[in-house]
Amino acid sequence: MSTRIVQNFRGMRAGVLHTADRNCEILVKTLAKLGLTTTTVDPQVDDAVLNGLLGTIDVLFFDADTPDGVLAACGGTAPVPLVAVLGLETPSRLQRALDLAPSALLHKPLRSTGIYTTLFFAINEHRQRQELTARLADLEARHSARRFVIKAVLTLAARYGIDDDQAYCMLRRESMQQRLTVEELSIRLLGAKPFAATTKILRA
Amino acid sequence: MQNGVRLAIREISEDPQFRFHFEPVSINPGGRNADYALGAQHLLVQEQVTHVIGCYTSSSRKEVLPFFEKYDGLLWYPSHYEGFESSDNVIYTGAAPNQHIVPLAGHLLRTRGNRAFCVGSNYVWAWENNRILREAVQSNGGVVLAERYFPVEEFEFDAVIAQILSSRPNFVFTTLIGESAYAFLRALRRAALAHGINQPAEVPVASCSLSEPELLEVGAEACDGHMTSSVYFESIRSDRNQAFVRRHRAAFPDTGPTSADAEASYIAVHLLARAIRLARSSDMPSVLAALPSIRMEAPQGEVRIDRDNRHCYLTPRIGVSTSKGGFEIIYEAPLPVRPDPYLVWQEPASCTEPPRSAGLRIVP
Repeated sequence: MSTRIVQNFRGMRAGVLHTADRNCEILVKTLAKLGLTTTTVDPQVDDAVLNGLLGTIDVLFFDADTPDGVLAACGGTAPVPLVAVLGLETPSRLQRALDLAPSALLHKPLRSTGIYTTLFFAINEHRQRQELTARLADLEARHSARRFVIKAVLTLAARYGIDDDQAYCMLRRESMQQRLTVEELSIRLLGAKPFAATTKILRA
Repeated sequence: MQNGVRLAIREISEDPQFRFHFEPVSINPGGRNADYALGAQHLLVQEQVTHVIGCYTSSSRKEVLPFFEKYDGLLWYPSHYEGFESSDNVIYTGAAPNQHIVPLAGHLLRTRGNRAFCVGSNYVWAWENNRILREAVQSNGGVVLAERYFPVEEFEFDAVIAQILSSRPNFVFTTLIGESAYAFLRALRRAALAHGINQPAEVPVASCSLSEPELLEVGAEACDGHMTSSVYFESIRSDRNQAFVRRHRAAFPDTGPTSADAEASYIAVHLLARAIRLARSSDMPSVLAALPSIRMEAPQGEVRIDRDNRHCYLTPRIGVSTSKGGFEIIYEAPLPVRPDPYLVWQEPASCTEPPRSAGLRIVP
């Protein structure tokens, strides 16, 4: 992975979706020692409050033992790294935590030991995951544009009386000059109307 | 360490300002990690002890921590260490990384150059200090030529010394410990002499742990010219320290010089006694509540415990060892430095700026 590892969390903002109890107190106190500011919110908040919170934080700790709250709506696609704070180890609870795709776990009762490690994994794992997701989306888009590339190669070969290797070279050279991907250029050359998945390629 | 504790206990019992005295219960786990766990349990459960002073290695400390959390005991940990811990059941009176390796890295970059060679014992103290040094060196455009690790009981250094002498770093940073460190220093000096190299001047060695008692172990042939970063040296020129050294010598005539570990243990007992006096109780919550408001004039200067992370405000210094087995202090922070065990507030060491210390900033 090319992402640089983050090891200092000074100035980051943490959301804590947890009842105000001793575990919560230890978590907030330890995060403060690590240079983070925290906003604690009761797990039974409504959508608007949670969405507002998600927009203003860099990491969210959530109590995985409480009834399904609004967080479930995020599915596995929360915009910030999630840390599940677990007490119950029953499969039903674990399944629910897993569905939210947390980047790290903490076990109750909390102690200050281990919170830095959890934060370290959550932030860095999430960054790596985001990078993978972006690469995957890029590859998917290229994959679905493959048939346009084939078509463009065939068209060029026929038009100029060259073989497919020469046609591909031409396509690649031209795409570099125009600062487009081979896929983008192919779609333009053909004047094709791409599928939804390939519209990402036509960002220009 | 034990002598520092015993001296402080004696001072408390002789001081009329304290209307109590400590009765030490001591155990010796003999460096075996499993025995530290058993020992901690014995002290906290059978002996009903609340305050325990001790542990040197990080692995022994990690071993006993769960027992202190379970039985509500307070561990007074009197050793410099690599940081990245802040337990509610520990008071750390030794130096945190921003008080030892960070000032040393800055000093080396400013005065020696940015080509480093790291040699260490293969455990967390070496790994983490090398990581901090490596980042400081690299962020100043320098290079770590090699990072070599050896088993704790290693005495054979000829190959790595040949590599050091041929690659000619600006300095060697060592995190070797104990006998292994002494053997390395002797072998390096011998090899340098054989090559006509003035080792202290041309290939200086720096560490965050080499102390006065250890210089005697290294021996006169190779104990001079090494840099150590420490919050305490026996050679600190203050009335308070001279009194400490004198009393230490009188009490333990056979044990040799004072050291950072002795001082940190001594500080631990004195801070505990002052907290008990203020709180009028020796139970853990009362002591913890009283502790942040206590300031003490220690042999190294004023010390106090940070309210948030329970590490100690200490004064970083850099010393160069002499052939007589002491240190000449070449750098001293102007004020005690706030402990920062997670290096949250620490700016990276730089070759152009002096180490940041509370209240001191160079204005261009």
